[in-house]
Amino acid sequence: MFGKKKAKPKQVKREIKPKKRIMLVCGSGMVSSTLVYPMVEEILKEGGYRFEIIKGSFNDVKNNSNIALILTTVSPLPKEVVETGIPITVVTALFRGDKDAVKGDIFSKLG
Amino acid sequence: MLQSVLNVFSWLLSQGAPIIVPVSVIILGLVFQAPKEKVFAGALRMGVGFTALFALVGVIFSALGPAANQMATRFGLVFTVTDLGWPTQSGIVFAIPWAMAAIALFIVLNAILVALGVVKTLNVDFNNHWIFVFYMGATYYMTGSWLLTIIVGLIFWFVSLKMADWIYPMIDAYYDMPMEGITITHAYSILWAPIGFLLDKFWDMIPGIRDVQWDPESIKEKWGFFGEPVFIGWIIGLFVGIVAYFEWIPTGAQVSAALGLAFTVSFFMLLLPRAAELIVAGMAPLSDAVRVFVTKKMPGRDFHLGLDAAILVGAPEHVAIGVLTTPIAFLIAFLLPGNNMLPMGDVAGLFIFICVFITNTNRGNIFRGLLNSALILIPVSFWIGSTMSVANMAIVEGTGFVLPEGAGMISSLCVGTTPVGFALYQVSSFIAGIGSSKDLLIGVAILGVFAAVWYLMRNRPVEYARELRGEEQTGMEDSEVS
Repeated sequence: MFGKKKAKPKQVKREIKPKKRIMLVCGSGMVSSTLVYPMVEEILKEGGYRFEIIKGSFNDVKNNSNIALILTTVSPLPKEVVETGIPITVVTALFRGDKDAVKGDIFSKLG
Repeated sequence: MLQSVLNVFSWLLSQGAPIIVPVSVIILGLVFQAPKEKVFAGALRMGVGFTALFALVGVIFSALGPAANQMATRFGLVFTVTDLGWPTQSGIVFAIPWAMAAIALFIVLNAILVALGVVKTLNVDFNNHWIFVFYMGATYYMTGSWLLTIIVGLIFWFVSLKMADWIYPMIDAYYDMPMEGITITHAYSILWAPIGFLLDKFWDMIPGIRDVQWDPESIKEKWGFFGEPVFIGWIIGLFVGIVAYFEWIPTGAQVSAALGLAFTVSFFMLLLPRAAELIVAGMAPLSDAVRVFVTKKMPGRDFHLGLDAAILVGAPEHVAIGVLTTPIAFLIAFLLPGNNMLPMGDVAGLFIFICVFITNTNRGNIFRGLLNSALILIPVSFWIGSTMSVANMAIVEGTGFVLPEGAGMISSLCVGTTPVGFALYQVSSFIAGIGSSKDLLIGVAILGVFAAVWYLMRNRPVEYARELRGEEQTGMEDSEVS
């Protein structure tokens, strides 16, 4: 399945990566986040992560804990979201279908 | 053979949204070469989304109907129309058999116009195309004329694209976007930009108002609880319940009726997004396929990406306006002469998006944003929203979207936020012979004022962008005194 990339699956086997909880937020919590959801899922699978995506509006961020990364189509995010200190990646480029534009940032922030 | 094919078609067209929409999504998905299993899964989700939507609308009407009747008989408050909110409203529009096809065609046509250099913006916001289809549907089901329907849709859609081109320079200057080439094609909000610019100039001339500047952070802290849909739904329900049922020293039965209504409205507000989300998620594979199809066929031309205003609403001034407009809109509904729409679905979560371009054109000054919204945008939305209830009912009947018995009329605030679409509809209904000369006059007046204001402000976005960029370097601190 992962035949093409040989280095990464080995790392995955050596230690089971802890499950990352990721929030995907947009303005309403309904439209934009839902539309980019499948692409975000694909990116995270490519990165070999175990993950859980919580979708919502930016107001929902405070209602969740242990968030590893916030992905958003809203820019700039309100101050209180930025102040949580959780890493943020803006994924607006996904509307163009441009996964590569955000992939690197997501992987480096998730570690 | 032909006869049985026709029979299948006429059966299909007589079905409700939960059946016809998935079928049309599958057909269009195949046309635009979307992955088959994804399209099938999406179609399934849409069917489920519509079923959920119908169930929720049924629940809310059975609770709200009696209360509204009570209110009417007791106070003469005549709310003959219920504002169902944009998630339901867009559901009704997607139930029009040709809605998906129209949207796909709009995007393909958009790509052609970009390739020809007529417009610079490619509107990839598949979902929000429904507002064009709404006014097309209103025209079609009221007048029966395909020609007028297509003309209304094309003009409305084209004006929005041109407007997106026009405001592009100010977007990055104001928001400092994470990537180049983003503009907003959200017709509900961007079409207010010329008026916003004009009002900003106007307030600059009024002593007293000229110097008022409100700070977003403190407002949000004070009023932030208004933003939660569960809470606002509960309050609206309770308020309507009290007005409708309470007598002085209320009986136990009256208290429980009001509380019951409060929880029902809260439930509706909380679960409605889930139903709307299913519909959007089901559309995703198709909108993806259309986007891929269009960008693949585009020659290497440079274009702006047109998106939803929702990507901008994180800015604190928009959050604060979203919060403050909720109680204001609710008050306006009860006080505004000529309004007969009970605010519900859209009152809590809509104006944060719609007021974007009436605030950012005013340097993000919350005071001016609120003034512009309360004096113009919100009243207009109620008037047009309630006027469009007739056309909305025609669409509901035409598409077989089942409303519960005795539900009264429906409409939504969000369709009221686009005077341009409304004006085109008014003019076309006059041409078709169903509108009065008053309708024609209103339509022409709106279009005339809109065109004149846009013309007056034609250089403003570029100028404004320059001012914004200049301000960043000099005295940004000075302008934040409250």
